[in-house]
Amino acid sequence: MTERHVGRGVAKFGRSWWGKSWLRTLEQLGLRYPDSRLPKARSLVTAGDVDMLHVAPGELSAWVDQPPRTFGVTVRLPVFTASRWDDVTEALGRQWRNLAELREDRLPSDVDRQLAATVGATLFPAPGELTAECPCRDRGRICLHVIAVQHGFAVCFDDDPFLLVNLRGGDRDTLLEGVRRHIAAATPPEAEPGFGPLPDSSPEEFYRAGDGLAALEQELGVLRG
Amino acid sequence: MRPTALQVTFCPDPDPSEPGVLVWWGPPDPAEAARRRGLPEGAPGRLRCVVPEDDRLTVTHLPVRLVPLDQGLPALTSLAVGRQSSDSLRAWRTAGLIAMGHRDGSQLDRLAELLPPAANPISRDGETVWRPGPLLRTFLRDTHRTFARPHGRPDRLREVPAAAPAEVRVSATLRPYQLEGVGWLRAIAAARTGGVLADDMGLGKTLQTIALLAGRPGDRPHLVVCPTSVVGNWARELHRFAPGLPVVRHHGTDRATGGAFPAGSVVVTSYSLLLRDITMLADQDWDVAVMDEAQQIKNHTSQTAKAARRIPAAVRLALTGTPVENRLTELWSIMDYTNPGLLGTTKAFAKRFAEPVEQRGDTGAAGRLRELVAPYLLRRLKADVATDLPAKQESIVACSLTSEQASLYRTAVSRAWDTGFGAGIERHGRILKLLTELKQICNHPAQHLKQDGPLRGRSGKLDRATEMLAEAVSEGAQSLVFTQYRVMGELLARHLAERLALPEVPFLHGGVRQPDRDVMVARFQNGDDPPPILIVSLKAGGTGLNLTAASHVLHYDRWWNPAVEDQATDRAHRIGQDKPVDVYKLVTGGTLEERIADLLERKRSIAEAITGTGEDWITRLDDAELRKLVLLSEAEVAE
Repeated sequence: MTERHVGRGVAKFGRSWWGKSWLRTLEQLGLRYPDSRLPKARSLVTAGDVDMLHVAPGELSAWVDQPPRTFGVTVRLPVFTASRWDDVTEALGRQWRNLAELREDRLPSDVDRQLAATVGATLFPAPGELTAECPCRDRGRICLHVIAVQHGFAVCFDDDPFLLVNLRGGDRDTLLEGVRRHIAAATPPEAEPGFGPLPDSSPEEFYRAGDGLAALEQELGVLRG
Repeated sequence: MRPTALQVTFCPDPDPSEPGVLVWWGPPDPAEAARRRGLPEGAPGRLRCVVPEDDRLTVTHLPVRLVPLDQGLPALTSLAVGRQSSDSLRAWRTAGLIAMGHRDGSQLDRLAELLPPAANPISRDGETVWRPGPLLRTFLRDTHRTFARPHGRPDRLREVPAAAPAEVRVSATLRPYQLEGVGWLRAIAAARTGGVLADDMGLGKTLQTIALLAGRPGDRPHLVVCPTSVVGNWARELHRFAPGLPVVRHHGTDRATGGAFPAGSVVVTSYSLLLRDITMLADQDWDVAVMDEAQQIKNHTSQTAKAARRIPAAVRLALTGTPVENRLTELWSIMDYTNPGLLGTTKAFAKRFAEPVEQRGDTGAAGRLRELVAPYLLRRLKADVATDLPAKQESIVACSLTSEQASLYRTAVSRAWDTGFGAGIERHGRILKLLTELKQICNHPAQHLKQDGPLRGRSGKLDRATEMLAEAVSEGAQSLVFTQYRVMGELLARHLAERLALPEVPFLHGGVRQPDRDVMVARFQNGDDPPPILIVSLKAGGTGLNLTAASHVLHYDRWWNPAVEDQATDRAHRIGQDKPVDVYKLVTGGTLEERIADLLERKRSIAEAITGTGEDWITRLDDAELRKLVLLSEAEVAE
């Protein structure tokens, strides 16, 4: 994927939870808050000066225009091996709600908690996984241009959470199909129609559930988190 | 005692290979209650349920909202529950969490013990309800099947036969692409879902829809909602193409205000009456509900769009030549009627599709949107089917009369009769005067009364012409509009420029000098940014002009002499024309315009006997014939 002038005129960075999470990876690259370069980096993006943002397996790159110079920035993230992807799809295929979210282009909010517990890896960069390169002379821990590119990526990422999957070397269709295959491998539930007489409860009882409902809800709430 | 809190249940499909739906019920307006809780509204329906009524349980038909699992379940499970939540909602939310969670779903049997009767009130036969265990297991199976599908479309839709249906019960020969369209409509109907037929203007959306209606089992009535100006046209096309289908015009002051419509009939009504009679119309059990010119419901906050969403029907169709005029949210609004919930909530749609596509030109999001709507939206451009189209296609478009037009018309007719026509040269003159008067009233009251305006909403013909030309303009096509009257041409030019937001609508009439005329024609034919509409007075346009850039020709009023009209039409359709031309002849229903058009169609002999360029033949009719020709038929008058 390549996009020109990403984020020109955007009003907000990190509109989705995954976009916000991505901006927090700046800290991994050495950013400490507050940093006076943040507003400057954001205005580079909104002015359309982050150009030709390209996402490929293992790296995202873009040009940052700061006349008279242009800086080619690369941010790298290790790709998952084929067998790791298989583990990831198997793990996500354990719960139907993952499929329900992914097919509507959303990342489940606890996706990395699920993956950490099962596969021992995360989609978002683990500490030390992310590296950045910029040809500018700033020898500090992170430069203005990298901050700008990360914000530019966040804008695209907001619209398409599967960009992170692309960065890890996967793609939307394969991932969805894998999750679907694993989840369908479970024994399909059986169902037979079965009918009984009309209820004969009093109008008050009609709307009231049995006493154990709250307990069951709580149990499921715990399971979900 | 009716509950005020939103209640939830699940309704399995009678066909076990099809997934069931979630059901919202309880409050008088369950859609409103769902919306307030951030749940999708779903489609309206009626179900037989057992509910408390006056201290005892009774079986009754309840208005409910039906929500496909893939739309309702994610919303339901992410809902925060509190004291105001009903137990049935909490129970089904819990069922959803179980179904959406780990693969085994082992807590389901525990839940079955706890289900309140309100979570399971549906009784199809009035004697039994589903037992909780089988109901929950069916729900689990259907949920898993739904989410395991690669696309959100029902299986039946995916197996759409590529071949056209073998038997189509309409008295017309359908073109190959129309047969395909009917096949598609039938697949949509068989899947009991909805769809948008968005063919370009002139490709026969009405005919394809009639072919669908004619092939339905006829156990329930159908509803067609359209702009007032085409109610008459729909009724006429139904009679013409499917004479076996009973048509009920729900229109005018003597319309039915209660009770049920006959099974198998087609009820044709207007958007304004949809609003006015919504309570009665929402209380019927419709088979197919059609929204024609569905741009009328493109604004989802409008009363009209809200009313459309309340109509309960097994099959919901929208017809439009322009599914998106300005913003993607218009498509959302139309599909929220045809396929409620398919595109998610407005907010989610804006975030997922509208903003990325409109603000950032995101081709990925556009592709995902296309994929999502593809099964439910059929759009053929004229260019796609050009080989199927004849070089010239003529149709007569009947428009309705407004009540202002009707009363002017009646007055003119009775005045003429009171005075009498006399004989000889005098008779000839008086008849022509009456004809002119009536034609002007049909064109626009402002033309007849020599006023400047207002123009909108006073003439069925002008409103219809504006709609048709708006559609042609948005297709990027060029149109010629012919009128006999200089005054009408000027009114049209002003009105169209204003309503369609065009910088200018040129008008070529006898008073335009030859050099200016040449410039006008050259700009229309070869200009860099040619005007999409050119109005031509029939006399000026009759000879010597080459206007082949136009692919639509609209005769705003009729010159009752086929030779003259054909000559005008041929300005656009002549050697050098490389695209098919659509010719529309507007007539006002129930008036002399329609009767003369019928006469000329039916009796080719009359048409052929007419020589010269005048309308003199009409003045040779006797009083009785003339009376039959001009008298207003009251059924055609709009409300």
